[in-house]
Amino acid sequence: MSWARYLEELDPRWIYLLVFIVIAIPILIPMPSPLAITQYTGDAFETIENLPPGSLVVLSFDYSGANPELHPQAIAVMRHVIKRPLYVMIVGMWSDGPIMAHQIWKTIDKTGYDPENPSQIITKEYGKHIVNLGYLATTALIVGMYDSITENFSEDFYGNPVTELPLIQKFDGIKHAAVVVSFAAGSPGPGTYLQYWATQKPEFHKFIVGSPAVSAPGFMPYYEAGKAGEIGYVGVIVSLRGAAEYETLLGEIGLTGATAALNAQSAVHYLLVIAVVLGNIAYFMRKYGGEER
Amino acid sequence: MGISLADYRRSIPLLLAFIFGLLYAFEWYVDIRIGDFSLSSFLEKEMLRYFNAMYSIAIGIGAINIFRIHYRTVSRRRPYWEFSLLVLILIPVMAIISTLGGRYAIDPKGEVIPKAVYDFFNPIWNVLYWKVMSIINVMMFALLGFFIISAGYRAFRARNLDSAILLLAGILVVMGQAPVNAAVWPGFETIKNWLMDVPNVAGRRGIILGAAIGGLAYGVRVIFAYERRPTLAGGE
Repeated sequence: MSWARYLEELDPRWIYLLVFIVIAIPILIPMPSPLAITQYTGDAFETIENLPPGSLVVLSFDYSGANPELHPQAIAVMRHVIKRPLYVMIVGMWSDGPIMAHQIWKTIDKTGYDPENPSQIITKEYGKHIVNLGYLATTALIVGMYDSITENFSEDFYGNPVTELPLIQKFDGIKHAAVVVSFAAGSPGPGTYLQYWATQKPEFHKFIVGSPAVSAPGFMPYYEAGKAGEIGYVGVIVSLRGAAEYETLLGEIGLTGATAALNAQSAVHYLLVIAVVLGNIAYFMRKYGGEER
Repeated sequence: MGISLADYRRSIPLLLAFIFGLLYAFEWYVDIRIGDFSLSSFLEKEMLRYFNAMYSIAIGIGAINIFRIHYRTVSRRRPYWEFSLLVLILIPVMAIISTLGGRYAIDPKGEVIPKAVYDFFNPIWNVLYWKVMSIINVMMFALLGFFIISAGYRAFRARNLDSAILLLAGILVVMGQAPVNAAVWPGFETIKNWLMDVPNVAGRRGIILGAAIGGLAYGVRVIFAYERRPTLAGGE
């Protein structure tokens, strides 16, 4: 059997073994990873960083437990909005999303600057500084909550009456939100918010999307539009790398575990390129070496 | 010559598609106001409620379909029928446990159903959700990495100029996305950003606009009954 044929007909289990080794070594032997900050992540970070104290940020958890690319992003952004003197409202267009937010809220560092007295560091309180409204089951709810939350929700994610929550008394509607961040694994995703919320007051609301690597190209036309001041996204956090960049910008390296995983990701990227090149070499050797398939 | 039941079955869905399709499209462009009352926003909100009800019914129909398909597989002992049997058992089991003890349980405070029921099912739901379903989901996602590399090795070939361009662009984007490339050669990053921001955006915009215009044309065809399949008025 020629080398070309051997390479072309290689048992895929050898490739799986190689992938396993290439992922395992960088995880078992941690090393510092160089990281350049992309403009997509930088813009997302700066948008939240430059919000005036007391602004409202909506975090939409539009993914389930299956998305390890988005969860680290959500942890980093949640920490950022808690750290800054901001108010936070959590929703989710995926039924598992608010559960993911609950998991983060249970364990995250809750200290941050007081939105009412921005020079003072406090421990953020549920109900006063942050609220989890839960799953947005219907489009009617998404449309309705723009103008009023109390008219569309009776309880929050934990079963508390929304009318008793100080944050909802202060901001009764998404119309008060300065920034909406959607961590989107698929559909429904942030496009729904652009359609129903961004069109209402485009000059006031800003939108950021956290995306898996595979979906990022689809968001880029809207990112270009957002940068130009049109309805779109002002920042895009892309995959695990975006999460690592975000925690680096935040100055809390190690917060999400993304930075530690970057070497494994780099190694797999290189392996993919080597695999594609080798596969093509084998293909051309067979094609021009006289062996027909 | 009277009108038969078959005629009604054909014409009523077409009439409904015409009325509601036109109404929904109309309210998007024209806001009819009578004092403070906006007919457009009223219609939008009310019709969305009906759409949501229909979506919910569609989920029920989907569930019934899943049961029919898997029941048939089990009863005829088709290949891998054992997995279908698992589906038939686990869907109702998880549905019952989630309804009584899950995060969105029907009565977690025990106002109607005794609190003991929630207290009994909640730990079971926690184990099934966090230790089984969530882990299986992550595992399925992680498997993609193995398959992508294997598929890249076996199928991603420069067979002609088009696929060669796609291959080269793909490799450059992958190299640019690999975090360590900032140290290897910063040019990868620049090339990747250019590919993402210029050709990708241009191509995507074309696809988005094309799909939107196609959707609009399709909508007009449905409203004016040139397209009968969505209403099943064509007899299928």
